Amino acid sequence: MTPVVHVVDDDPGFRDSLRSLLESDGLAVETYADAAEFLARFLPDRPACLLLDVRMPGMSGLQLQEELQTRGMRIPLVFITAHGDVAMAVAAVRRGALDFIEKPFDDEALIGLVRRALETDAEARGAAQRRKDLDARMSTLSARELEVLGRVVDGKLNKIVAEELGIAVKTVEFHRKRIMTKLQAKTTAELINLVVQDRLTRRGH
Amino acid sequence: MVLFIGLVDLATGYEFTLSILYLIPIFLTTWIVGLRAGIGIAIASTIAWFFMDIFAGHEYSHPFYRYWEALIKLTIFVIFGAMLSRLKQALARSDERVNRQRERLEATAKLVAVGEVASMLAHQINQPLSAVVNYNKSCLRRLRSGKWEPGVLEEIMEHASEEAARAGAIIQRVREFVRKREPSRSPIDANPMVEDTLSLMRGEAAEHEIDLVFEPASDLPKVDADRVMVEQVIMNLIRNGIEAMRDTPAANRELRVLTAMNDAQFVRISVRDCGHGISADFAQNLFQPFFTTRREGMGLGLSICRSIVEFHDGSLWASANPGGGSSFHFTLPVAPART
Repeated sequence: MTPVVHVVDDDPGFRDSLRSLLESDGLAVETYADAAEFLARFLPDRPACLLLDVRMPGMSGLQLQEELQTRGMRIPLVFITAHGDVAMAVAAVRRGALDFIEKPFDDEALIGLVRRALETDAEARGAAQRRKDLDARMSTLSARELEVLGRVVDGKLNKIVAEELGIAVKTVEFHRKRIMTKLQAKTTAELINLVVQDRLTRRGH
Repeated sequence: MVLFIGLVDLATGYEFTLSILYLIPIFLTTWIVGLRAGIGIAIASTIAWFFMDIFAGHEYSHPFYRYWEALIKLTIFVIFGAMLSRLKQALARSDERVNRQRERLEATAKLVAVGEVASMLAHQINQPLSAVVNYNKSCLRRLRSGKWEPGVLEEIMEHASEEAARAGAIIQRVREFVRKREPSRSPIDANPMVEDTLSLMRGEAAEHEIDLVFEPASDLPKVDADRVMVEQVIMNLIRNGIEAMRDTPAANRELRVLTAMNDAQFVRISVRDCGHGISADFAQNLFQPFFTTRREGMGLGLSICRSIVEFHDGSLWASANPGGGSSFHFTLPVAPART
């Protein structure tokens, strides 16, 4: 899917001029008159970034940012501010917005920022996808296999694992092979790496 | 009423001294008509009391005491009347002061409003101007990329023109808004006006250890001015002077306000400080809106002052003092003689 730049701004003239400018660089653009319209029409599955006016009637840019966070929608945000709103923009960045840009702005600066936002989104989506795959693979392991995996990652020799679980060394070797196939790991190092990643992301959530 | 009280006093006899009731008509008259009429009623009351006393046939150990008593009553009546009259004057004065204070507040609010309008204006004009910039850049990028169709470019330029026109319309609206305010001018005495403004600024001057000196010219004719607006100009110039002397040694901090005839048609008011003076490159921009040498402040003060003075057909200018510091002068037209 081609990425899209969402633009939320209450000023129709300014909104349209932004569309024209971004399209001149070959970007796909969707525009919205206010936060409510964006929340109603926005499709979270498509790679995207969001250009957001700080000051809007109804739900302000900052409120929309909060709403997106409570809904668990992760989309790189770039705030558009007028002179004098810089304090607000700084607050927005502190709360996780990618950046802000003061209007009137330089076209190169804006397009650079939008490209960076789209890259951030692509990276986040890639990471999320890898996590999902890993989750799927981990879920195919049986209870016994998880026990073996845990001990292998702790650096225990097959003999010790066999003793601890009260099974034959041959059986441990058999489990290890199956684990490697299920998790698509070629070496023990790769296996350990996968499990460490899994633990890290789990802790992050 | 005086007669009625006299008759009641007579009827009730010696035991009740109702002469105190004479104060009622005296008070009423003083309050409504004035002190002189009040004194008239006091004299009438005393005479009434005197004759009623004779009618009642009160005996005195000496006939002179009747006159003596009348005299005391008259004195008391007059004193009470005078006190009441003073009280009324004081109330009126404080009323006036409250009104003046309110007028000043309103004027300040107006100036604050001007600041708000300016900031709102900046925001509103920024919208279409930013849009114009975007449309232009969009066109340029398309032209440079070589992939463009005339129809698309035409449409974008059309939009850009519309946005530029929108910016113009916003400015037009502000013009109309500013034009609606009609100040009122009347003949006023310059010296008391300056004096009053100075009394308002003394506190601020003292805070900065500044001597605020007034040098009024005598025999100034009245000027034709909107008092509240001109007071704002004087206050603003004094504030600037205080600001300019921030780095002057405390012993030399003197701010002098002078009034004088500028020529036959104009009275001149000058504010002279002993501050850092005005450098040549600032002098040019001094009266430009949004020009400021301070970190806080919009840079609208002097430009508003100039607008106010020019509205009065006067002029506002700055000059360097021979002994250092700078002076700001403005002129107000002499009020036309009443025919």
